[in-house]
Amino acid sequence: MIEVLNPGTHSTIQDKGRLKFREQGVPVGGAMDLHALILANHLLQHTEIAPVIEFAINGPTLYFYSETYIVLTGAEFHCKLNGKVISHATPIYIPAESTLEIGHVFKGNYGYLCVLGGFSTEKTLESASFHPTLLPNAKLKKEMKLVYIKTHFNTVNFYARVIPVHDKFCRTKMDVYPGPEFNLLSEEQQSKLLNQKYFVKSSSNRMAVIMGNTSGINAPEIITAPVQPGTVQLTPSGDLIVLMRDAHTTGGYSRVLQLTDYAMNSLSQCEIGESYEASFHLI
Amino acid sequence: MKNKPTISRFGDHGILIRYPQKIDRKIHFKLTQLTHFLTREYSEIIEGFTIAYHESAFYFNSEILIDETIEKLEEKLNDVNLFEEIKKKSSIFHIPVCYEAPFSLDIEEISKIKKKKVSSIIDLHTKPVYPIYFIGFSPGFPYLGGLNKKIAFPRKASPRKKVSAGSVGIAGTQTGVYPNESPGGWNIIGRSPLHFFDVKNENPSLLKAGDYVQFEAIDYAEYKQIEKQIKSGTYSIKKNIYND
Repeated sequence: MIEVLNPGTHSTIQDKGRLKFREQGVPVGGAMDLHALILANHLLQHTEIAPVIEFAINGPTLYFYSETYIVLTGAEFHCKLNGKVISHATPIYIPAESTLEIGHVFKGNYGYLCVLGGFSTEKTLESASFHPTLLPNAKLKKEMKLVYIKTHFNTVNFYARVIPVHDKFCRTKMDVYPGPEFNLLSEEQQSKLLNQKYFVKSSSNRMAVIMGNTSGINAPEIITAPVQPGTVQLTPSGDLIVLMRDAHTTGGYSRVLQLTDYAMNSLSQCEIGESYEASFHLI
Repeated sequence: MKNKPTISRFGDHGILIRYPQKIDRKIHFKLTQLTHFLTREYSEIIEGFTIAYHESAFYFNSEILIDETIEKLEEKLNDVNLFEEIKKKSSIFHIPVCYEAPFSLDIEEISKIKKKKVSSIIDLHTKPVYPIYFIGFSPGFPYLGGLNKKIAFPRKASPRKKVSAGSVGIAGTQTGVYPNESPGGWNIIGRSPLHFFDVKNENPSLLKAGDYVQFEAIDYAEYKQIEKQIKSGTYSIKKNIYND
């Protein structure tokens, strides 16, 4: 069992989200960086994707009552296990009665902690992912207890280790499809949209990434229509919004581009501020 | 079927089916029929779908090849007999609403500004059969059409921090129900004791695209009685087959 000593800035339980209930207005949700969620599970040799803890800015401090293995993936944070620095993206043995301090982020945005065998967490609509009304308990709070399933195991040999490539967090080139309203833009507007170098604004969150340094083009509102994570909306006032995992299922702004899954994961880790560049690449 | 929808890719795993851009009951009826048909036809490879006024999006399992699926779909839509086979009946839900205090927070204001008696606002709101275009914005939130323009009323200048679940409201030319407690800027004219979104149900949303709603005025005592019946599981929602 884990006890939460300090929940951190915004730490939630996440898995792949709720895919099957979109026509009932249920947002997909799930890990912002799905690649990191899957990687963490693979490194612990899970055959099914178990829920993880997702954290941002300042990570949680956790007390482990019994021994287990964990993996940290996604953004890199200053992490200490019983006062000693530990590695990223490789299985780490956690002795019983250990304290894991996940401090401040230093590369990327969203970090992930996966525990061997996964947490046994509450689910609504087939997912353990946090949602303010569907599953409010999936947000870490002080003194909260998280049960992990596998408390007895033989010593395991894990060989896999992934070396993170830091550069992908500095220049994010996103592969995109043309969106349903892309053809409503003139050729000049299309090329402005695609050739601009953007940055991620601080108002971004799990619902949407707001792009800064927009290219001075805009698009009219549309009759409310389907949207999904990765839909790039252009508003009448010229704002460029990339919908992320917690976005609504329908929207009324022009859908000019659509990110690939890979691009969504990269964008989720693109840091806020003008020193990090983000651009679109039509495929 | 004269105007065939266009079919296009929507991201890595999605397909978008589009009719002409219009809020139109006939277009939406075709879209609903086709959407239900395709979700049944492809139930094994679809992970989810979204329907709106004139477009539906279908999201496929990651191993499905989208370009190939679009080709097959186009062939299927060429079959002229398709729409004869797929006609599905709609339901109408009779939704009890108490238009009295303490639920009808903004009905007096609408009455004053519109210079209409509260009773005639209630009549105008309960008379139409509202088509449910789709569920969106938040879990279980219905987009209804057909509000009488005489009681159209602009959104509140600043939204309330908390609107109770079941609240029935008006915003511009739209009317709807808040399925969950949430912040909101609609003018609240009453409340229904029904549960519009319940995660314990296989289909958590009570309402779905393509069905119809009619509101029925009840008094406070009836509201409390229905609330009790829902709690004990003895209430059954009034629902009939509806032929448009």
